[in-house]
Amino acid sequence: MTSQSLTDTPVTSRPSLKPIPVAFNGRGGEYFGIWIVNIALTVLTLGIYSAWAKVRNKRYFYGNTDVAGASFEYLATGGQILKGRLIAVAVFVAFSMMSSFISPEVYGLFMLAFMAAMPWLINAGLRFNARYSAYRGVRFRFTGTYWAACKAFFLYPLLGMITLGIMMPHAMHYAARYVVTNHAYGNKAFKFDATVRQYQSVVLGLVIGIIASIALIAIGFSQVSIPLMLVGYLAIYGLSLAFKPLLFNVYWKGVNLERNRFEANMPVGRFIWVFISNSIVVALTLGLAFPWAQVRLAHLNANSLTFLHAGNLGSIAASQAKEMSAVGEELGEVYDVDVGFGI
Amino acid sequence: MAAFNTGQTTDMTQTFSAHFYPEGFADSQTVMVLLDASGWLSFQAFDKKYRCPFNRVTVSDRLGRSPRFLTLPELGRLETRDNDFVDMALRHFGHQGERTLWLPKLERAPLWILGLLIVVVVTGWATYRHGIPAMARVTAPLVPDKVRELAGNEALGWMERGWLTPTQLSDERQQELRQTFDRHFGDQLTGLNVRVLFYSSDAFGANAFALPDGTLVFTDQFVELVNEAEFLAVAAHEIGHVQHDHGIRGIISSSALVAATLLITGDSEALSEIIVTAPYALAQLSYSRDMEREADTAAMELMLAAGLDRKAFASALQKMMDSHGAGGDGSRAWEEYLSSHPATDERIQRFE
Repeated sequence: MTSQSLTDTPVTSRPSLKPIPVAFNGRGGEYFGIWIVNIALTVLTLGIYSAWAKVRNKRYFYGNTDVAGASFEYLATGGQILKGRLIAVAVFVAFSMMSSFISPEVYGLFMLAFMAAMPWLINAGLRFNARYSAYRGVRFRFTGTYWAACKAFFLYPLLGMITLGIMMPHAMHYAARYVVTNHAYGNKAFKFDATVRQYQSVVLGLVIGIIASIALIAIGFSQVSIPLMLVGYLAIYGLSLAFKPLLFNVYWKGVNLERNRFEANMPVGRFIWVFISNSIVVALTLGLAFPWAQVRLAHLNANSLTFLHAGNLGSIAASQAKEMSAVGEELGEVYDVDVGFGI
Repeated sequence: MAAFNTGQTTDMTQTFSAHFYPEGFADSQTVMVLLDASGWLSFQAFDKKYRCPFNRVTVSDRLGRSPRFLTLPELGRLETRDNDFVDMALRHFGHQGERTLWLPKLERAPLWILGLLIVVVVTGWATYRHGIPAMARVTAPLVPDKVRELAGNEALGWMERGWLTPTQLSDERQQELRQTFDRHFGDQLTGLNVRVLFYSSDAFGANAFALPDGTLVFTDQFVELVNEAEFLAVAAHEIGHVQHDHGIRGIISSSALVAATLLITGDSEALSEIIVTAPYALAQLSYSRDMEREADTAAMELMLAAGLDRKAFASALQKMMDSHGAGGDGSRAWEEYLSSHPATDERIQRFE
């Protein structure tokens, strides 16, 4: 099971990539026990345990995700997360108490300041998550800047909306590239080589599908054919669900690190089936089947990925940069933007 | 795999299999780790011998069957799936990681899980049925009037944009209705900021509602449908909503419900992945039905004080139901769960 090779494969020939399936080993029944104990302790401690519960939940999904014989580690502690949550609650309470005393203008100013802090909060969340995630004992890092986050999550999506969606694939591509390329594993940065064109074809395909469905509904309406209209509505619903697996595939195929890459092949139909059946079962059991549904989704995510190992992971060193404890890092966790990195 | 003979302390060298990740590199090698009786870990990797005392190792908590991570200071990390062995070693050497062994045990004990499941379901139900409404009742008086005003204006503005059009009632008719209203309820409205508005609405039809700031809205369609006694009866019901501050209480309880579930499940991301909004909507409708019943009770008292016949409320409800085209026998038990109001027949019976 050794997977190190200090001699890199020659650059001239096509690097031979060894496909290794990504595996998720969690079980619904097992996770149910962990989940219910988490909830019970959270209730009995009036919510304080929720910070530790979050760590256990996250560790369960990390620890059961196996890539090339090694699992992921989540290293944040409940104490850190509690600290962030307490700060967030304090800010929220202060904010809502102030709202009844101060003038609307000043309140608006505060809202503006909060909006301006959003990119920073998103970055803090990503940084926190990356920093406390490790694989083979080496941690991840996130180094995005305020201005780039502004563009990725606010300005470009806004541009996409203003141009009635024409620029939307660009915006999606930019956001994905921002997240991926600002992540590093040890001392090596991730690269992203998905193209705008790939995002365009996903969006275009869905738009065509939706237009066709609307046409179907219109025809059904004019001929008073309920089944035809129903098919049209279901098609629109299915298409909106198809978005996630299609983007998942484009995204993961684009992620690479020192020639290591992923093959992503999430079947659209399978995803839609899992999503709809999960939703129905969770609703029917009033939430009790939630752990089972989560595990099922994690299986689907993992089974859709294959790691293409270039054989050089062992040469990646942990980052030597001594990271300073950024102020408010824990606060970012509260906002919890998991952009789907590290599965 | 290997296991300590429980209780025996003499000569118990044991091994377990693990992946070793040397400090500072994402390198990996499968190793057989030896734990000897004196409490030292030793193994061979990358053509080197590694040794570390077990009590200096940090061991991650057990979590189902997921692997354990052993951090050897300055040397690196071991990842092993031999959970039972690690637990036994922790116990045997009185390692500080032993303290957390009760938690994973709890997570795997079916009886405990069942017991805690019952605890969760019972406390969850009690919180939802009694805790949150009681909390809303206590905290609502603390909300400043400015918030009621804002919420009321917001709600009215929103309805004006979509569903309400200016009233077609003549000024005299409006005047007359307001005077009747004041004559009967005027002295019971002290401290409440009640005002009566009329709007025409095709969307709502014959209807009346109370806003958080004490504004009562009656539709033209309603005024034309009912007689004076019936108008006053429904007005009494709407005053009941204002008296009990239902607008603010509704806002508080629905946000408390969302906050509580977010806190408990602690996973906002997963919530958005799987549709769990249906149970929410149902829960909020049940709060709404409770408040309707409370407003009905308040209406009875108000009508009694004003010397009105409470049967007028029953006939008003009947007329409104007929005007909305609801079948007389349409109030089956299961329909109640999908409705913001209790079954109309049940309400009518209370007032007859």
